[in-house]
Amino acid sequence: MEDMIPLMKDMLKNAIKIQYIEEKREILLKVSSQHDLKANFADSNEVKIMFHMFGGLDLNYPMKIKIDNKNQKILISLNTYEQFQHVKRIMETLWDNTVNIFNKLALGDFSVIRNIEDVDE
Amino acid sequence: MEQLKDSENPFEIYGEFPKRKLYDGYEISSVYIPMRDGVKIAANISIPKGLSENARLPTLLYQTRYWRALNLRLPFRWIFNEHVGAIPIHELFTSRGYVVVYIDVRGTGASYGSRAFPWTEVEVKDGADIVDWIISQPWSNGKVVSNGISYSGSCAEKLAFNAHPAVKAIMPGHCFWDAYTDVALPGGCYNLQFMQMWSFLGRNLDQNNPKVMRTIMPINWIVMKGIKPVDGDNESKMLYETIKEHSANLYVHELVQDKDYRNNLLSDGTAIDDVSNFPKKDKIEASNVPIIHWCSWLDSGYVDAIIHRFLNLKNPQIGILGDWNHGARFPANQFYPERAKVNPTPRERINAWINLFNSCTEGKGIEGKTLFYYTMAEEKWKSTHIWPPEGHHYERWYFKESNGLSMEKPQDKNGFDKYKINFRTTTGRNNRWWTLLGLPISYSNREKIDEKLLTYTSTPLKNDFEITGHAIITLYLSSTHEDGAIYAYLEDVDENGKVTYITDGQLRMIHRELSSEPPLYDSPIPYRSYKRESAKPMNPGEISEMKFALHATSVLIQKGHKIRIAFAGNDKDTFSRYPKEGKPTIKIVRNPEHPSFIDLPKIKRKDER
Repeated sequence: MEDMIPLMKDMLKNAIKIQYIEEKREILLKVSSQHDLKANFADSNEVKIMFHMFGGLDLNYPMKIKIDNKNQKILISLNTYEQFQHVKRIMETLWDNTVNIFNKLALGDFSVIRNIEDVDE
Repeated sequence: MEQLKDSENPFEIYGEFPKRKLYDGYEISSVYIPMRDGVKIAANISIPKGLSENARLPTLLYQTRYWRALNLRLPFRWIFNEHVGAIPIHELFTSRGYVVVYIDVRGTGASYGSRAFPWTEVEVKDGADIVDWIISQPWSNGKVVSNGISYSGSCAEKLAFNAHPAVKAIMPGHCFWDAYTDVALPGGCYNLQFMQMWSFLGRNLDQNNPKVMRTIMPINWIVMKGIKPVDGDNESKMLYETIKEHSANLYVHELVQDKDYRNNLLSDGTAIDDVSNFPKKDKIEASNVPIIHWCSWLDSGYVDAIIHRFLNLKNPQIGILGDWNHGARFPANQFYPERAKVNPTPRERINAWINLFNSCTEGKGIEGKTLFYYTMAEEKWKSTHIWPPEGHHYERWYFKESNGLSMEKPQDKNGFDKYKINFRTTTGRNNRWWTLLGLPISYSNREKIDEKLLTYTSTPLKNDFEITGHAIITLYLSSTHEDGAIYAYLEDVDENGKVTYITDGQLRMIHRELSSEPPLYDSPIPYRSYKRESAKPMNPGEISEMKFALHATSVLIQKGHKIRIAFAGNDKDTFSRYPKEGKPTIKIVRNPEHPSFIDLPKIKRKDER
């Protein structure tokens, strides 16, 4: 797993295009995965977990998530402009944070996952 | 095989980067393969992309109990496939024209069935059924090779028990030959922490519970949320069925924690030797399958498995002993703790493996027996066709007054050293036993630790001293208690007093009696049966002889450095405590009548021969 860390950020950036639609308080993720996801693209709970694990966002943060499995798109709608800005800021550093968590875990610093809630069913 | 080159580095000899990449990318599918008794085994099949209809390829079979395919979390599922981090690296094998069949063994992962213990006879026979299935596939050329590390390494070795003619080579990596001495009870001391953790990990994996990873392997836990179901099981209905069946599984710690002796039986009549490989020596030899087996000097007792396979099996074989951790993900040479990258890299290693497999499926195969080994501190690969290697002889060093170690026999008629066992002593959780969980190896701060131990140190050496093989300790020892254990550490002390761990050995005192029975297999170390009837409590105050080996090593102790032997009575973060209660004091006797000593396996250097 450690071998993948240096490549991870670029892979994420290349595979996931992010569009911020400020006037609608929406964030659109367009994923172009090279892997055959076989209808296993995403579900909304997993998107929340991703924001929680790697962005520190509360699991119950109010947001609407629409998944388009066929076209591999995720549309996140926020209720208020402040919430939109908050999630946008998280999104902008999400891949950096992800790589950072990996790096720390690889060095044995497990404190980086201390605040992650129980996300496993 | 080709002629050996000047270098004796097996990864240079066999690992030249392939001149041609045959395929780019691979496609994954997964199926259930029915076994002879109807139990269905989950298999992932990785086939090179763009394979023509007429193409027929060899297959690499990899059998795991640690999940053949991962159900990844977001966002990793978008950038990695279900084999991320997997060993073997599927892409390397498929690019060089292999199909990879990666299976969950019975009772684990997404496979059906249950298991009373690991590597049951039924599980081993599954290997033959899977090979039958492979060679009936349209893409198969009828040739199968198998490799693995640790659990999977044992699966690869046990595949030979079936003597299936389609199996052309096996590559057991980092796995045991004798489960009792190499992992569960080295020296009769129960490897408590590993057995407990491994059982805990296994139970949770078999119940598809990723939470356990959060504690043990958090870097894996943030990537995945469980086992990936087989294709078509979209609602995980079959996966839930398999998990239900796994709830009948039993785990080794519960089974053997109170089984001190080699001949203790489980309730179904199984003994620990039934999972070992040495009792099946005849079957492995009858298969005549070429064996490429590899491990590290610093990995548990598995290092000794390499020596024992080399000595006991007639099969054509290549053995490799390097200086990395269990599974070779991290460097482990204690003389160079600052090293960050393992050498060879996994890719270099796997290229060597593929070249060796190619020679077994298409070429001349392996001829004879060669053991490649790395001498630490000399930092040099060597090879031998015999064990111990040429130039090997034992040099006797006595434990002396003032914590000395010397080649002169003791003269003091009253010589002895008393040591009250310190039960807080530990080699930590990055030692040769914890690495079995994939952890890095680090024996740091030995100077400080040695202050709590009973040590014997030589004067600075006048010449370089190569130790290769098993050091053997003979102690004349008495104790205040009937039970106890002795842990011996071989160390290098440099000019600045820096202490470097080399290897160790252990013996539970009740197992001190050497056996006059024929040994279970050829071995260069003192043989004891570890049977219940051979166990003898210590008679408090009475001097007993204890002869035991340290795990094999190869190291160059440089001129000017000192040799140190350090003794402890416990390793609290690894082994069970002996005795369970009480604080014994031991006495190591070192007088002319009872001269305690260590026989060091010295290699005469070429200029000395």
